[in-house]
Amino acid sequence: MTCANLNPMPEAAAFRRPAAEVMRLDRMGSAHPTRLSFLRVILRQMQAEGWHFDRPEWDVDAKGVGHAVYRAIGPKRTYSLVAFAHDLPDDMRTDRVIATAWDATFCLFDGTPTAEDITRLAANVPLQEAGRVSPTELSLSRANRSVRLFAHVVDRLAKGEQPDTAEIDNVGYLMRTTAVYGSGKFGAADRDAIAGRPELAGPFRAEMLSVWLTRAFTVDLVEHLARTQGGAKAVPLAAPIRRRLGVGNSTGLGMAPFLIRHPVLLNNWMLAREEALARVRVQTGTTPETIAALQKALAEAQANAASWHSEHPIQITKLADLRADLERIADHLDDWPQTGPQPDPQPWDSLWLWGQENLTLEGQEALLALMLEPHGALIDGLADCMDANEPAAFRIDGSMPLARLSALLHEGYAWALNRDYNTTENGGRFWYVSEEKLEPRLGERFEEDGAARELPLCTGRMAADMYADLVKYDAGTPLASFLLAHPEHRLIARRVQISARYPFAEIQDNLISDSMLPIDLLRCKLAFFGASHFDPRSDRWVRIALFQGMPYPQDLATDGGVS
Amino acid sequence: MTAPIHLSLTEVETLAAKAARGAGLSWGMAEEAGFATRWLCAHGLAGASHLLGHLTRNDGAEWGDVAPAINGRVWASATGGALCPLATGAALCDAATLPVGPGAAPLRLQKLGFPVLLLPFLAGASVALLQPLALEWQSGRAVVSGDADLWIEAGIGWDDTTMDLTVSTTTAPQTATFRNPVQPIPATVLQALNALALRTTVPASARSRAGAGAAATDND
Repeated sequence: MTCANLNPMPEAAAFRRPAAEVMRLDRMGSAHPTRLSFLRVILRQMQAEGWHFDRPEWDVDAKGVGHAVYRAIGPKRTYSLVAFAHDLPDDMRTDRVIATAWDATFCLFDGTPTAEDITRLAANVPLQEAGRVSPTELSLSRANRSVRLFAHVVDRLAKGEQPDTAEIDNVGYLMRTTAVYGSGKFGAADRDAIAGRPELAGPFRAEMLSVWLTRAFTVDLVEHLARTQGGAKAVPLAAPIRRRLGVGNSTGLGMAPFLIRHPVLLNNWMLAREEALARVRVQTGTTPETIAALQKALAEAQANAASWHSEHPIQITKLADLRADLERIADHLDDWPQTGPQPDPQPWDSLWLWGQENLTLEGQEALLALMLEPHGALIDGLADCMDANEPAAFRIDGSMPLARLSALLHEGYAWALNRDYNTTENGGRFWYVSEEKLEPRLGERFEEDGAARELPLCTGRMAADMYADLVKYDAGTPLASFLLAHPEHRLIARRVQISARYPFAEIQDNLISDSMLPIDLLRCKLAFFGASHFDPRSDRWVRIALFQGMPYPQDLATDGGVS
Repeated sequence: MTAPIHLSLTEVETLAAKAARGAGLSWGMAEEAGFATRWLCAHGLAGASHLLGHLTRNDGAEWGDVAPAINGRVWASATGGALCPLATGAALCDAATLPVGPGAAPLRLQKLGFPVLLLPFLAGASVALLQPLALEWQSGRAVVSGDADLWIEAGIGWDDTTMDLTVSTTTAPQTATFRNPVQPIPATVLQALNALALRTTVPASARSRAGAGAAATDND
């Protein structure tokens, strides 16, 4: 939805960063979670509305096989995570979409499931892609154990001891999800069917709720197995350690095309975040409370960076940048805001501008997240603007003269024009779906077959191709006539028109360049989810953690850590 | 499995777009096919079956043979064959507010295949024109208003035939709009659409398999 007419602070618009700066892959690949990230938003919302939670079913045997139901009960509706725990041989454990079995499988059920529902779900949910769910299911997901940490925690708890916190921090989760499907996948409820509910109106709410309840299940499962193994000696996980555990997620290229295929949604996420930053920059003063909140956020960011590990060379460099930048920010804050006879009229803007000049991209984007933290009252409402009415943006305006389309290309796609896409540097890659696994992959155009079946994610080249054809027409020709003659340009024509209305809709980088890093796309999306500890396992595969340091269902009502 | 299968509308849209691409339409037109099929299915019409019928008949057709050539108020194939309802629908929607479009005066569509597939595009054109549009043929009439309101005043035998039709602006009927529950899709239709969709995929190579996963074990 557009909230433009509700904007309480039009003066902030002048402080927004331009899309040409924001929509670059290297900067998107340095994104940090913020208080507008989806998991933060849903926890805040459930806390504010006084949701309560229970576990009406726990039917898990001594081997850890069975099912459980976790309910989230809101003022109007109830949602239930139905969890199936399995006994998975190690040789079947893979995080890739080719897997056919998992340590645990889940669905988020709309309401409270009956015994019949559980029977139906037990026959389908464990099969994941090979099963079918129905419109009473809002998400379908699965998770694998972090084998070593899971065993360590069970062993220690069974002996009556707490796990080693270094081991806990090294991994950060007991299980990692390997896919969380929502929005009508495999027969589940269409997004349209639930988007009208205030609690699910924002993007990925059902998926985040499912993952949060999954986190509670992972802790219950280790405690259950510890009791089975240790009997009376066994102890539950100590609350501070429990809190350090999130849910992992392991993600590959399958997630990458999403941001490109949903330009209006991407715009609305970016715009909300950029508007939030602009609103903070335009503030004319600080208070002891905002300064204290900023310092607290910085301390948490430093602790997070200290416990963030990766073995990937790219991420090792970025982590070093981040840690050094957080130190720089800490030093800079010693003298911020400037006081004296001429106090800084816009101290937050000064802080931002200082960061622009003195920090790497990692540090700049981390500073953005820090600066939003003290300003909940100012910016949290923007979370309501992060969903999208995509059908409303679908129709092409065929009356647009080509002169206007050409101007739009020069404004929004200058980065894409005048490039030779026949070189490896500019066009070396192509995106496709594999016949074998039906998963998106990246191919090498000049070395592999299959480019004839390329996915339309080569936005830059499509823009350049359209431009090359449209200059052959009279400038006054309406787009409708051009597309009737050139149906091959229809997809990019639609994107260009969308970009004109939604400035943050298009990633302004060449997505088929041989130096493009798919993990940059993944990090951007995962940061909006609220992911921490981004850990690439290759240039196209990552692990992350969700909900680390956040409350559990039983803590939510009394917890101060959400807002 | 031979029983009809309930697909979510998201699945319908995705499958329809891939199948259309597999049958040779451009990606942008494939998006239109996805939108149109979803729209029909959301109204309880057999969108997937109609799309399959059309794609099967037009599989691999040359755009120039099935896209409308505009000659005054008459839209017809330049080579005399049947008009593609997706190409015609998209063009009609694109041109909605232009002098050649249906807002200016009634249009004659000559030999349109699978006219039911045109209805979703009338919705887009109606939104652009801020007016309902009527689709009329020898034995019936349908009206579309805004992005979702549909009236079918007669529809016998019009879904898989090739016929001449007229598109014109109109007023919304006072009767109840047409909307049936979403129908399950026959298994044979699903199989055939999946087969077309599979044409958009690339066979595996050792290299593509190797690059798809993590570089390290997941058993850690």
